[in-house]
Amino acid sequence: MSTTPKVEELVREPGFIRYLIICLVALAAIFVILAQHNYELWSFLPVLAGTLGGMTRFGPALVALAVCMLLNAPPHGNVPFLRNEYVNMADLTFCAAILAYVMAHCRLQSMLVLVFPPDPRRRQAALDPPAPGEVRRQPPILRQRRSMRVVSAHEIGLLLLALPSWAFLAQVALQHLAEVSLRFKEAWLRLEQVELGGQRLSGPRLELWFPIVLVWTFGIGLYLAAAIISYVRWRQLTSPEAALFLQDTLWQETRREQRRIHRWFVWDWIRRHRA
Amino acid sequence: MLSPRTIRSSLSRLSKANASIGGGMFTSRGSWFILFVFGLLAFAVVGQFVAQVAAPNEPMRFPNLPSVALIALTLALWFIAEWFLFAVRATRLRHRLQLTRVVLDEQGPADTLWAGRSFRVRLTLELSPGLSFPYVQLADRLPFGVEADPEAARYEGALEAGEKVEIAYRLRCPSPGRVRFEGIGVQLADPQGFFYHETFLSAAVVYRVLPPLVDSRGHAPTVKRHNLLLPPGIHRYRRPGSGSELLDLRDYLPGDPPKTIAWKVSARRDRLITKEFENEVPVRCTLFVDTSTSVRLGPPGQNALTRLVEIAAAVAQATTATRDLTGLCLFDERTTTVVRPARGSRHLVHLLNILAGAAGLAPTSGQSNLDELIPLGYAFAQEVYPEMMRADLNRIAAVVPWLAPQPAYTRRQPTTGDRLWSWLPWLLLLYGLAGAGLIAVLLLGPALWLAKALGGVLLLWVLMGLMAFLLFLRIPIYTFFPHRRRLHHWRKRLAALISVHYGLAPEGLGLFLEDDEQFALYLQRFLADHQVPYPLPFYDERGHYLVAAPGKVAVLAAALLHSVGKGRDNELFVLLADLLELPERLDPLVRAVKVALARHHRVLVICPWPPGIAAPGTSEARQDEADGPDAADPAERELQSAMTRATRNRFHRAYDQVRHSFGRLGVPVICARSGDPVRSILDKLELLRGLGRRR
Repeated sequence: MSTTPKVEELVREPGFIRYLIICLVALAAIFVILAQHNYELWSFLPVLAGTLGGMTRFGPALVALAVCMLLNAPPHGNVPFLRNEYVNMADLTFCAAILAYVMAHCRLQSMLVLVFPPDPRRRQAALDPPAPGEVRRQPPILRQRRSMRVVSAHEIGLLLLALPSWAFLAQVALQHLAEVSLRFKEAWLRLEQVELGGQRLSGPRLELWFPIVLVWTFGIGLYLAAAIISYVRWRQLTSPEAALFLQDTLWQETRREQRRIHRWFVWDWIRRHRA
Repeated sequence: MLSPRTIRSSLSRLSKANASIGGGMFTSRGSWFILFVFGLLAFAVVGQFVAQVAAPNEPMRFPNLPSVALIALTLALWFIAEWFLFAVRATRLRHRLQLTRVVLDEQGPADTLWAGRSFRVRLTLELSPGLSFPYVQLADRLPFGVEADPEAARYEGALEAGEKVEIAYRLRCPSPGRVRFEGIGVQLADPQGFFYHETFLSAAVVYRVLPPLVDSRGHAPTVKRHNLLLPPGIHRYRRPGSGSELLDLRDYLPGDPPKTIAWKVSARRDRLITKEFENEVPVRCTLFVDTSTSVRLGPPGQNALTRLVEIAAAVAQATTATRDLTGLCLFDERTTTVVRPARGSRHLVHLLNILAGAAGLAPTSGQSNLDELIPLGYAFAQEVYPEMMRADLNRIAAVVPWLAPQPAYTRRQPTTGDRLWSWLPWLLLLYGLAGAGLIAVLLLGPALWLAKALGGVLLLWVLMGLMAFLLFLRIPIYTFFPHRRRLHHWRKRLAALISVHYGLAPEGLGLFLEDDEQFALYLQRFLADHQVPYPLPFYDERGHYLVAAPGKVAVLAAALLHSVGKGRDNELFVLLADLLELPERLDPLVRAVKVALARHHRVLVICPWPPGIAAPGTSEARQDEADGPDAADPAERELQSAMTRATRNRFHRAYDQVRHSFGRLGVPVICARSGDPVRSILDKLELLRGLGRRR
């Protein structure tokens, strides 16, 4: 868990091999789709970024940036790439491939680098006692990695199932958001024309409706999710935790009075004790 | 009754907690990833908007920005779903995991442990049906002082719903006392390492660790030397009595029973001679064990109290083997716990249980240094009671230590720092006024002048003014008592926890925040109950030794007199007490010992000896070699060596004084570290039996 795995050991670990294969297949899929869209040699750019970035923790960011840059860079930038339809297999595969690379790379990172943040309280086994005259050094902080042996076929199956699901859901969500923002835009235009006689309102610009809808959707969604989790958490307070909460509330409300009373008590006790 | 204000405040806190992320915590990998994804999404959406606004009638320069948005949205939706699932799992984890712990010996489940023996600990964790956990790390929190393999007490992997996980490892307790299993630490993460959650599944169980069974040397010999084997626990006593073994012959006195006349001898001597027989009485041994603070010092299992308990346990087992009566008296500065002399295996187990409980006692003092105790207690509470230390349940406003610092008059020995800290609000006000004036001069005066004179340089001055303002805000954070403020935060959280833990809520929190002594005592109790070793000061500001516990001499004397009053003929009183710090205050005890001796009892004193100091009779050179200073600097080494010598000489002098005080009465004083005190006590018992055997 704490020692750095060697290459010979990695090759023998099925967990490592499985995720490595997923990474490579994902990069190959990205390459194929880009090549189909006549990106020619530029199709290698994400593969290169993914291969080089795969050795570092910046792999997903590099691949995503390379893809984004490639899609919008001239001369190919003028050619629409994805169709923005509800279900399009090419789009689905492309997004799923990027997601597969991100998931597999992050899982490899948690097995090779860290799965939990370094905790200064957790340290490796004590070093040998120092020689006379030497200063005792603290053992290094334990690096908690995920063991490769715990990777199961079930986990891989779930990952493969998740890829098209999330890509499909994103397509649907994006299309739906676009439609909702279009409806808002039309409603706004109707309001301008019907109620205000064609006068321009000092409201948001028509092009801004999509970002507004997106931000509101994300905001409300995250707030609801946090509210549900928080509610579940409050419902599950144990008796001492609830007592602690009540005590804390009382203290917050009366801390000045409590402080004054107890300080006088302590002062009096110390005076009597000294006397 | 809660006021509307209180209810409003509670609702406000609930809503704040609602806004916080429940259960899950982002790792740096997760934070950077979501930042990147949202940045990508914002770039795609805002870039599209900017392009449309900038050139509404031209074709899009970046027509594939929706594709970028789609990719970012795919990643964002996946990430948010993972977070939501993780947070729900983390929230429900504690309530869905059932922990069962069994400690086993060769015969099966064990209720008590034995020092020096190995046991198997088996933990079973069962996850109730529902959610499963893709990756958890479980680690049993090993009690302090036990010998076990921490790697064996771990589990790593997935936890499926309805699945049982078993952790088994071996455990050995080297010394008697108590062993407290707190529970199991749970770390939860997602396979990507984006989120992690750490909690503790509390299932505290305390096991008594009984003293080890003595070896054959500790037992009294059982070789039959007489014609008649007496009933167990009855010994021959070389005084005339009604026994069956012949003691002596003497002239007949009127009143002697005729059946005791030795007719053949009388015929030979031509006068009446009568036979005297031995007496047959039980031997009683009462052990007085010192449990005061002075013997509790040191790590559990390695302190003087453990040694005394081991000696007492060995003697109790040896006397039980010979069916002698054994009593016990535990005493400290204030109280005594007395167990009347009795015999039998049940009585022995009772004694061992009491001794095991005594061995686990920890020292306490209201004069502890809170600056050392609070970080220790806070770190422990964070590990074992993470839910009770949550910021939404147990919070402190950031301004409290700034605006209401602890005043110096509530401290027993306030330092200069304490006095200065209590002036913090006024120092802040002074600093604020001076700083604001300086910034106003810097911003307004030269800025206006420069605006007229130089024009373009004005911006530079404004920037410098802003930097000065930021500096003005940051300086107090790093300069005005940062350590004390941090300790104040920690103290509040610990005080709230301890107050609830010991049922002192709701007033305990306010009390602990102001009363140092009460807080120190309760914090020590909290740490001692959880078997966490903590530092204790030995000397006060005036150089007085704090843990000598002089009150125990009077308590011991009273207990001894009480035992003498209840005692019969043939008793041995063993005083296992640390008297080395009190050689001038032994008068009450010496008087009590005189009373015991006058009643024909025997007394033996056994003094524990501090570790690291040469015991009396040990070669100093050998001891110096063993405990020699290991500092690199020769001057420091020399200083350490001189201090070791001085301490050793002081203890040797004190030991000589104690020996002298008791030696005048004929009471032997034995050092617990040199020789074999158990053998000495058993020899004394043999003498009491009047057999005078030598082994």
